[in-house]
Amino acid sequence: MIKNYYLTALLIFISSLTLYSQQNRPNILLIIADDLGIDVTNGYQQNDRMPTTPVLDALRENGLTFTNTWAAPQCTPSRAAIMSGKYGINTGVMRPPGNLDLTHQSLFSKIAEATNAEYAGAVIGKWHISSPVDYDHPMQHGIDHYEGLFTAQVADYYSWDKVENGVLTTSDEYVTTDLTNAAIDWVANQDTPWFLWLAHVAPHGPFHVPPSDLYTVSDTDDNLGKYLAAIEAMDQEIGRLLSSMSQETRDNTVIIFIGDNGTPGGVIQNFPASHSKASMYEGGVRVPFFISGKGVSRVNEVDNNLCHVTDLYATILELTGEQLNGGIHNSRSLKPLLSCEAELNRPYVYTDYRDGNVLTWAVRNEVYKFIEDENGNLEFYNIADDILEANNLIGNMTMQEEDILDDMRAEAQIIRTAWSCNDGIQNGNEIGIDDCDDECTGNNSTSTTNIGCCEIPNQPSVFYEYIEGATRRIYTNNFPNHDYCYNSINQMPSQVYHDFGVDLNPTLADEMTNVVRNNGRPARYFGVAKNGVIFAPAPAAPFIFENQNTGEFNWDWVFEPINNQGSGPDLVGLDCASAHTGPQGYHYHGNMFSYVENEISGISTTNVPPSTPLHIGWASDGFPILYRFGPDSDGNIKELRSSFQLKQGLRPGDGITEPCGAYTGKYTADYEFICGKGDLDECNGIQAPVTLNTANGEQTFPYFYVITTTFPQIPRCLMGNVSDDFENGNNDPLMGVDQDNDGFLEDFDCDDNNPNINPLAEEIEGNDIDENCDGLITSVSDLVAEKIIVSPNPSNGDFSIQLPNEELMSITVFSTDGKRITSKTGIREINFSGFSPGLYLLQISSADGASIYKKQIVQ
Amino acid sequence: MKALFLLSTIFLSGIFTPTHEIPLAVFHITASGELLEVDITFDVEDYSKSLGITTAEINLEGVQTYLNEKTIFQFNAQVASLTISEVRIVRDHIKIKGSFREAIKSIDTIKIENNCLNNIPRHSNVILIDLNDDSRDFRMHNKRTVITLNY
Repeated sequence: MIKNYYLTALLIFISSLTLYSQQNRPNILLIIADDLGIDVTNGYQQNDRMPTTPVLDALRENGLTFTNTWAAPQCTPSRAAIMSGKYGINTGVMRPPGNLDLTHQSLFSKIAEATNAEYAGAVIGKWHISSPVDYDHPMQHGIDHYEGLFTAQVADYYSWDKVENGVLTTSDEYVTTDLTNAAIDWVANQDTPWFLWLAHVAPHGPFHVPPSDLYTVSDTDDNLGKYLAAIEAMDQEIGRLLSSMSQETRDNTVIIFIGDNGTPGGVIQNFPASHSKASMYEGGVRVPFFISGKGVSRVNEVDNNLCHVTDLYATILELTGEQLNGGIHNSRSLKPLLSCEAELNRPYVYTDYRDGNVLTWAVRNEVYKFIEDENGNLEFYNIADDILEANNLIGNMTMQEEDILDDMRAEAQIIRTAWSCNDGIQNGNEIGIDDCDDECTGNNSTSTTNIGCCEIPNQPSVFYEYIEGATRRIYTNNFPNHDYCYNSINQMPSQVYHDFGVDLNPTLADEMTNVVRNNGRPARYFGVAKNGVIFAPAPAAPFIFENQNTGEFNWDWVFEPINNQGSGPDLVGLDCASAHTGPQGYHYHGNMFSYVENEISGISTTNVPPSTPLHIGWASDGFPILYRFGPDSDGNIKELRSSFQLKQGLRPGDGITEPCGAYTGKYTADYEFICGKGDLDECNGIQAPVTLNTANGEQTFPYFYVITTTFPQIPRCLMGNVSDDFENGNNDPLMGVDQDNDGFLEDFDCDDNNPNINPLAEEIEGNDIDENCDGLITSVSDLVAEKIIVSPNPSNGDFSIQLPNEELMSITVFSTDGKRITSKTGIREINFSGFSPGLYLLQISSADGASIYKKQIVQ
Repeated sequence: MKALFLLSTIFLSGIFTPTHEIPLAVFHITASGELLEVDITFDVEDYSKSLGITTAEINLEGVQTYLNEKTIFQFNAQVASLTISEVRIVRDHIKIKGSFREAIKSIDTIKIENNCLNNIPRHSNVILIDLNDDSRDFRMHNKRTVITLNY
């Protein structure tokens, strides 16, 4: 019997009392301005004549501004690039008119595919990527709702041809206002996550003065004045759209603002007129671009990484929840930059344009830029010092500059004929990111197919949580409560007993702790699941890269178990719960499908967050472990994603002492943490409060870990103060006997001869047996006594006794000095009267002689 | 209470957990003061099958004899004698504790010949060596029965 220490019985709660919102994915508002260059965008350049744009200024100041973003120099190729994620050379759309044909999967179609059509999508505004014009083109590209103009510009801002879902009409409303009204109406009608591509035609010509209440520019006599007024009108109307949204919608919306090309020659400032829209110079291709809103924590910051409008494709995909290896096609995801400052490690960007009949292309790095056309004309500039591109360096280059030019031209040649090996994107035929020139001959294959389920549990699965001082104690027999499988008979799970202790109120430590030692060997279990099975994700021998000449292991390169699954040689026999059995017992290496499906059917595959998080275990530092979904820092429960990604390029190894070839995920070290890529930190955790019901009652934790569907699935490090109980060397199983085979060793079981008595048993009241080993017995007489009512009490001398059943009972009344006064026998109710003031003792006896006592006060 | 409940073998899991999926024995060599100690883990089934004996027939003397026959350890080109002090069966594994008689003050070279359980298909002997503030681990099998390493 457990008598000499304090036990708190395990409390099982079905749901938490905490209510979370359930917005799994953010809304995306992409605003494209037409012909808006950096020379007239506040925050980029300053001129004597600038528009007043408080709304855009606020968006920029509340978000991240990209300073080195290229577009194509005209609208059609830029829009095709955003919609397809591809440079013009890969879509054929390099000038207006142009047609983005259906062989290129649109961003809308891709989002629908990636999210199982969870998003509503609309394009409102300028389309201009259909040639010959087909009003059904947006729908063919997977867009739910289209409303706007198909032409390059409106004939008149106050009278223009409008297409709405394939039908041509006309509108006499100022076009920016009309499009804004359409956007407001569409957003208001959405009840799912939405993606709105709002392509204003402003401030593109013709230069018409907006309604007077939409601008502040004093001088609108010239085209520049009208152009600036159109920008101000667009700014005000964007503000009206944002104001129309509820705060909840605003809070869950990412807002992206970008220009499609530079300012037109007639109104450009700072740059020469010939270096404007429709030119490959900076005045034509460098555009304003900033992102703010949901998930953008780099507020009022500037990012100088090289970007391209194509990057919106991958960035928006990742914002909607897709996880890419760097990006897709020619599109690099910028999502990590929204919360973490980093170098993109993409040394070049490219753009192209058919200028008249002459195909022209350009490549830039941080400092230099070259422009080349198919007639062999070549220009080369130091745009870091010479953004106006006044000084063509051709014929006057240093040797170093000649080398740089050669490298950049070679890069352009690759981009124009294949896929870059420097773009940080897994594209083309790459099996990793930029794994070109891979001459490695070793086995680099991966396998993620588990050996399935073949057995149902045939022994008890025990997880018993109790509190001892400041420690949460977890007794377990480490036997799964779900289906499992094994490759050989000695891999069958068996009961392995532990009594772990973790911090009851965990706090974050100064340093994180890895589950492996510095020498690469496994150091500790990560934690224990709430079915008692341990999490032990670190791989062990012989799944280590081995020098074939000497047999020496290289622990820097351990085979990643979740990517080397199967029953063949050199494969890890993980079952339908990504688990197998070693000397430490049955343990999880990855996503424990069959366990969690037992808890909530469909939880391993659904896109719909549960109303409360699924709490599936405790980490060895005492923080909880949730499955897939959890609250973000805003209390919004959603699928929380890992921030790991395959590394770029080729492994550095020679294939003998360390592996060579592409980073495929075969080895754990193939992955790297990309801050901001997902929601979670390097330990797959997040600092966000979560409230859970535990054996200690309802508790709020400031941090929690998540089992994710992608690497690492189970975290590989810990952020809190780690319990020694999980350390290899300290985590030896408990030894003892379990006579009644209820999963409790005799030292934990108050009756080891009865499987119905143990700390997890249900207490049956009134049978004089302590089934749940809590040291408390509720006897028959206790129960009967509770149900016998003496009333009134105190009384004036008349009182009655209500009896709980039909049993004949006798009641004897004693004075406080023990003198018998009277007695009566009866059933259900016995009445007494005429007692003088004083205290009396009532003896209530059953026919078999059992008695209880109650007091009666007479006043 | 903890002392009551946490009775267990010291080296059941140790710092290393071999998998059951591939036949494996583990030899973990560590320095303890000026002595070298070795913890060896055999799979009970593999050991019994290899020697053609039953589990009940596993004992210290038999293990000592077997290791003397199947292994040779040389430190600084000197053959060292392995003395087994403890043999226990814990669940599916034979846990063996031993040491080398010779005190080793400074080790520059190690040569190990190991033919243990090599008649078990696909069997490997994993050698873990923690010496000189360094960890070096090797896999031996029937095609690699000798390893040498220098410090």
